Formats: sequence, structure tokens, C-alpha cells
Amino acid sequence: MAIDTAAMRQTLDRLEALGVEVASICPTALLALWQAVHGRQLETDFVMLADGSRIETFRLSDSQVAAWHSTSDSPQEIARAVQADLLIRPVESASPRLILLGKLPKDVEFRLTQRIPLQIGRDEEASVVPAAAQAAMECLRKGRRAGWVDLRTDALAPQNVWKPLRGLVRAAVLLSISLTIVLTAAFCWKAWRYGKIADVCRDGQEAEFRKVYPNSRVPTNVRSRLKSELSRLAGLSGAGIDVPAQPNALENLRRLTAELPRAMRLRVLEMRMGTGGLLLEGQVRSHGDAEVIFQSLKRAGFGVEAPKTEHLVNGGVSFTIAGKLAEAAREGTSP
Amino acid sequence: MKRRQSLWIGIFVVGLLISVAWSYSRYCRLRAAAAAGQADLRDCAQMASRIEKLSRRPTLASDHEKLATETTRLIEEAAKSAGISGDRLIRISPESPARLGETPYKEKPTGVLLKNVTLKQIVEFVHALLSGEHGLNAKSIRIAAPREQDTGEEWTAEIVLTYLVYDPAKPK
Repeated sequence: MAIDTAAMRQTLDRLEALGVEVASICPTALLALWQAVHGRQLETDFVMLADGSRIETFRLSDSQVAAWHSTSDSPQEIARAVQADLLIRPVESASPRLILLGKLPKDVEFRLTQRIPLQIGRDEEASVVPAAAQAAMECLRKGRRAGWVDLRTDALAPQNVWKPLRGLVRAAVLLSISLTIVLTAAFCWKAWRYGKIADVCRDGQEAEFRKVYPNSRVPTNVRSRLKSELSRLAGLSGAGIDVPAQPNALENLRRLTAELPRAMRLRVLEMRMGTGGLLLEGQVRSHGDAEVIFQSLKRAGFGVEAPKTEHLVNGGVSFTIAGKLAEAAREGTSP
Repeated sequence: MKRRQSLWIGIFVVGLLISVAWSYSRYCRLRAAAAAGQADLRDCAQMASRIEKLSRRPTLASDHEKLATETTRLIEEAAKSAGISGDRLIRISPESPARLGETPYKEKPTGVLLKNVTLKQIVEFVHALLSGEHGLNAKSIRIAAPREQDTGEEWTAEIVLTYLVYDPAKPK
């Protein structure tokens, strides 16, 4: 089946320019035939649509259109078309069956049967041609199939494939734009809320700073400043820091002198007390007295070594006791 | 006409996308700022509380190296309170501070030489310095009897006083 696409294209363009969407292009006769035979098992070889002066004769094979003859209402012309078809596709019975849809003038029907021995029947259930075509169009509009042929293809195909979906696309675009605007507004509003929270937190930090340093200017980075101040104060007070013990030489000196025997005659020449240890130099009457001092200091916990003694020319014994500050003696330390 | 319309639609769409991207990035930035602000506020409250507590504690170290004149003044005042006359306070020699191991502290030593002072005066002198709130410590004491001449109860004393300076090492 073929049509003049150039002429049809112009018609389509005019319709589209007027805003008419052409979904499909189907011959009216085929639409009417589809409505008549679709879903039905018609026992016929031909279907004839009589609509005014044009007669459409369809040859059916297994309820499918095998041939289509469009003629005038001249009995001779119709008969020639049917006979030509029978020559190509002969029927088994002697008289072919034909179902007539629409109104065929009586004289035409009589003269036709005179020429060909047709069994003409009428389909009472089938709609008349315009009504059947109208019903088929309704099917097409609802997206259902309504014919065997759609000429809205190739040269007659819609130039904009999205045009039939224009409404949906427009709705989707509007929805997207609305969603975008709503999203933007939602982000802005949430950002404003978070900004407020951040401001409140900043004010809180400044209040915390003023609480501890009421006379100082609030720094830009309060947390960093408080951290450094805390670190400094911890360092100054020794909190959380392993501060090396500071030996208190005065306390150790007191301990040393407290351990010297009271009843012994003793002359101290030098006492040295410090981180390096201790040193005691003096003079006593005998070597044994120096030993007594040594033992006394040792008992007190000083890590002293045995005394070095030397007999003096003018009498008496000089001694030197050196050592380290043992644990007991280190008690006299300040943190 | 159609091209101009397409151009305006394109500009509008790009503008919309830019506005969404901008508002989203702003939202993310301020959300992070709010979260950080809340965390910082908690930290600040805790730190302020600890600072208040630490401020009430006695200090162990100085946060700066005291001026030599300040230490000298303290030594002179202690000597005066111990009854040591000026001519017996022979020498005051501040030394350079030295770091104490791996700690954030430096130790600032000052040597003091006293001559012809009694043991009682030495003890009172050192005690006066140590009992003040100046963080001073007697690191070492050397007491010697003058050998050349017998002066009875009078001694020569070399005392090294120290105080701690909080001076964390700068990160390299």
C-alpha cells in the first residue's frame, strides 16, 4: 500500500503548525475493516465496504487482509477487481463468499451477482463505515492498536519524536524546576539554621573566655587561645606533667647535721650538699670517731663511702666522707 | 527566535543548577561549622573549668625568665631578714638557664657567695628565699670554715639557687 507522501507531508505540516498532533495515519477503510473483523472469525473470502460512491473490496485470508481493491460503485469495475483477485487467489467453492458493510445500491448488487456468483451476506453486528472508523480512532487515541497499517512512518514520521510526549516532558521539566527551587530554598533555610547554631556556639565560647579572663580581649580563635592558656597553666603548676624532682639542699643539710653524733668532739671544715652528692670534711679525735660518723650517716640512708682519714701532726684526725644522696635522703626534695 | 528562546532556557537551567550547587555547598559548610562550633564550645567549657582550677593552684615554675634585678632584690631582702649585712653578701652570679632533660622546663641557677656568716644566718637566709612564693629552690649548698684564720662560728657559704622556667621547646 502506498500514498503520495509529499502531499500528505504538507497536510501534516499544516496540522502541526496549527498545534494538532497527528499520532497515526490510517486509511479509513482499513480502520473500519479492523473494527469489523478484529477478534472475530468471519467465514468469508471478501469484505466489501460501501460508503457512498467508493467501494472498498478486501480479500481476506485467515482474517488478514490479503488484497484491497478500491473502485467506483460500477458493477463492472467491482466485478473485474473480484475476478482478477480470484484468478490470483482462487477459492475452493464455486461461489465466493462476500460480506457487505454499509449500503450498496440494489441495482449494483443485482448486476454484480449477475456477473459473479457471489454469496453476499450482511454483518448486522458491524458498525457502518464512519462509526467504525470513529471507534477505531478512539482506540488509537487510547494507545491501543486499531489497524494493520500505520502510515505515520519514514517520510511521514513525526519530525519531533518527543512531540507526542510534550505534555509529559513539560510536566517533568516543571516538576524538576520546582524541585530544584524547593531544594535550593531548603538548603538555604537549613544553612541559615546551622549558621545560627554556629553563632550561638561562638557566643558561648566568648562567654567561656570572658568567664576566666574578664579583662582580656576576646581572641578570634577562642578554643586555640584557651588551649594554649591551659597548656601554659598546666606547665606552670606542673599538673599532668612529670616534673623532675628538685633536691632541696637545705633540707638535706638539716638531715646531715641532725645525724652527726652530739656527744663527739668534732670540727666541721666543709659541708657540701647538692645534686652531685654530699661531702663532709672535718677533724675528730681518732679514726674511730670518723667511722662512727660514717655509720651514723649510713644508717640515716645517705649513700656514703667509707671515710678517708689522716692523722694530723698537731694531733687529731682529719676525715673526708663523700657519697651520694640515697633514697632516704632524697625525701628532702621539692617537686 | 527559537535560538534565543533556547539560550534563555539554557541560562535559566544553568542558573538553577548553580544556585542549587551554591546553596548545597553553603549548607554543607555551615553544617560543618555548626558541628565544629558545638564541639569547640564543649571543649571551651571544659578548658575554662580546668583553667579556673589551675589558676587557684600554686605555681611550680615561672612563665618567663625573671629579671636579674628581681632575683637580686629577693636575695638582698632575704639576707637582710637573716641579719646578713651587705658587705658579707659577696657575690650574686646569675647563670644561663639550662633545659631539664626532655621536659618543657628550664632551670635558671643563681650563685650566691656569703662570707663570715653564722650557720643560723645561712639557714634563715635560705629558708627566707625558699618559703616565699617565688618558686626558688636551693640546688646546692657548700659551707666551709675559713682555714686561714679562726673566726669561731662564722662560715663561708656558696649557695646555688634555682627556679624553673616553663619554656616548651619549639617544634622543629
